[in-house]
Amino acid sequence: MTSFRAWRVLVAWDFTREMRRKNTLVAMGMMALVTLFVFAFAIPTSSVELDQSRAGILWTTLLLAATVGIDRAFRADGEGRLLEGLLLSPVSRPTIYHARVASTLLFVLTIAVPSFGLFMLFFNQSVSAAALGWIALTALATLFGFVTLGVLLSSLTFSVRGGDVLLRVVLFPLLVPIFATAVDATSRAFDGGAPDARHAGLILAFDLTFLGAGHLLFDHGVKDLGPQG
Amino acid sequence: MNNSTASPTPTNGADLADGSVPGALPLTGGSPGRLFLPHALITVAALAFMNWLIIEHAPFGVKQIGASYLIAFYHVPSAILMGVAYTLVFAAGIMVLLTKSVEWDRRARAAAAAGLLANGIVLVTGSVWGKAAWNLWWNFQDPRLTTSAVIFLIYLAYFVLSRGIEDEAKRARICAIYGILALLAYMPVKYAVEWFGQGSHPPKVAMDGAQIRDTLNAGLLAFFFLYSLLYRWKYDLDTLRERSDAALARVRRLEDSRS
Repeated sequence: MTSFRAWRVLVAWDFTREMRRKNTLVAMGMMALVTLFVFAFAIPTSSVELDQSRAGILWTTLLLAATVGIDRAFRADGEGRLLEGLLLSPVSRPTIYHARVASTLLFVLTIAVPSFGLFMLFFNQSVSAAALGWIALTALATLFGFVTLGVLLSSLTFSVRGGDVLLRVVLFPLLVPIFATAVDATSRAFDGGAPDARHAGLILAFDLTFLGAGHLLFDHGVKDLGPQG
Repeated sequence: MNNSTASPTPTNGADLADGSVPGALPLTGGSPGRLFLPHALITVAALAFMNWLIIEHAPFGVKQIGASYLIAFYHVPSAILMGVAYTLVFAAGIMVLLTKSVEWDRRARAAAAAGLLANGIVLVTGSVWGKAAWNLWWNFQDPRLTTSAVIFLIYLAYFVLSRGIEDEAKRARICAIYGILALLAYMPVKYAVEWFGQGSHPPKVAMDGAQIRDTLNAGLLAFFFLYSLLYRWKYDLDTLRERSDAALARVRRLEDSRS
C-alpha cells in the first residue's frame, strides 16, 4: 500500500469513526455554544465594544471547541491501544501523523462552520462575500496550524496522568502567536479589508514549521507505544 | 561535574539504581556544587562592577528617552542571554532525542530555569521602563513586551510539563520535544516583531557611544555569571534530587527482597 493510499484510508476511517460515535462532536458543539452564550450575555449585541472584539469572540469560541477535538485525537483510541495497533502496522509513522492531522482538521471544521453561523446569528453580524472568503481562508490556515501542533502535543500527553490538563497548559501558550495574528486578520476582514501579506506570512510560517516538526518528531512522541518502544 | 555515565555502577552485587534509563545517575561520584561559592562570589563582584559603571561611567541620559535608558543595562543583557538559554534548551532537547540520555534533560531544565529568570528580568525591567516612558506599567500595544510575556508563558509551561510526568525517560523525551517546539514557536514571534514594527520599543540607535558599549559589555558578562550560576544551581539540585530518589528506591527494593 502506498503512503498516500494508506493516508487516505486512515483519514476516511478515522473521520467516519468519529462521525458515527458523535460523543466528541456533541462535546465540541456544546463548548462552542456555551462560549457564544457567555459572550452574548457579557457583551451587548449592538455596542461599539462588540465591533472591536467580535474577532476575538469568534476565535476564543473556535479555540475552546477545537481543543476538545484535539484532546480526543488520541485519547479516544482506548488508552492508546488503537494507536499501538496502528504503530504495529507497516504504515510509516509520519503517514499516521499526517492522517490524524487531516481527520482532526475535518472534524474541527465540522464544528467550526456551524459555530461561525451561530456567531453571525447571535451577534447580528453581516459581512460581504469577499470578507467571508477572507475569514474562511484565515480560519482554514489557522485551524490547520492549530491541528498540526495540537495533534503532536496530544500524542505526547495523552498517555500521561492528567494529560488532558497538561495538553491545554502546553498548547495554549504556543498558540498565542498564530491566534493573535488570526484575530488581527479576521478583525480586518470584518471591517471590510483584506488580511495583508504579513498575516499570511506569519500564519503560513507557523503552519509549515509545525507540520515539519510533527513529521519529524511524531515518531519520538509515540516511541514507548510502538514495537521499538 | 560529569555525570554522563551511561548506567550506574552496581555495588556488592545489588540491583542498579535505575539501570534501564541511559544517563541515569550513579549513587556516588561526581561533585555537584563544586566551585559553586567562587562562582557566586565572581557573580556578585561582576554585578557590583556593572552597577559601579552604570553610576560612574555611563552617561546619565541619552537622546529621545533620557535617563530611563539606564534600565537597558539590565534589560538588554538579560534579553540576549534569554535567547541563548532557550537555544540551549532546544539543543539539549535534540541531544535527548539523539542520545536518549536523561543527562541532557537535566541540562535542558537547568537552561530553561536560567532562561525563565532572564525572561522575568526582561519583563520586569521592560515594565519599569514603560512606567517611566509611557506612565503605564504594561502596554499590550508594544509587540516586544507582549511577545516576551508570551515566551515567558511558553517556558513556564515547560516546567509544568516537566513536573507533571513522573517517569524519567518519558519526561526527558516529552520535554525535549516541547523544548524544540517552544523555540520553533519563538522564531516566528521574533520575526513578527520585525514585520509588525517596534511599537514603543526604543530604537537601537539610542544606545550608541563607547561608554555605553563598555557598560553594556560589563552587564553582559555580569548577567552571564548570574544565569550560569542559576544553571549550575538547578543542574546540581536536580542531580542530587534524582540521586537521592534513586538511592531511596534502591533501599526499598533491598528491604523488599529481604522481607
